[in-house]
Amino acid sequence: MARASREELMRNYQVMCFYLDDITLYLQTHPTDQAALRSYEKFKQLKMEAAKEYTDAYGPLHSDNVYVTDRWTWADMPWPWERQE
Amino acid sequence: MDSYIDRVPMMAQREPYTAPATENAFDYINLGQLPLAMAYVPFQRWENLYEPRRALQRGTIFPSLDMPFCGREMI
Repeated sequence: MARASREELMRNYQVMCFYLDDITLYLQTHPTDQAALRSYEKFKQLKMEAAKEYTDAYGPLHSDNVYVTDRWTWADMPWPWERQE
Repeated sequence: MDSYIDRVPMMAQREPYTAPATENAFDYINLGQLPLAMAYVPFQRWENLYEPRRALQRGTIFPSLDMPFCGREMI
């Protein structure tokens, strides 16, 4: 199977982050809504999986999930303003 | 002294909302009976969510809140 592109995995991570954020907003005003709580758990898991998938393939998304080897890899990726077309 | 709340129909004076969103008191209110000049925000329900990719495109996971204001009438 072809390796998913960086953009694809990043997009998937962003999609899950957004979904979880919107569920969170809903839960602020509906703290006992069981269906919403179940979705929160589901999308929290999906977001973690998306983050892991990206990190495994293309490096850390945040400075607290650098896989430490013998080298600090956080600054190896292009920065957000160094967009590659 | 006449109080605003005395003029709200009985249906609007339900218990404060605590249960999951299975009903909405506003559904039972005849809007024409409500006092003038008061604003109402119907309580949102958990229903008909967008699938994730579409949600990000639309800017909300709730189709019921997907109301793009385009400055013109939408079809």
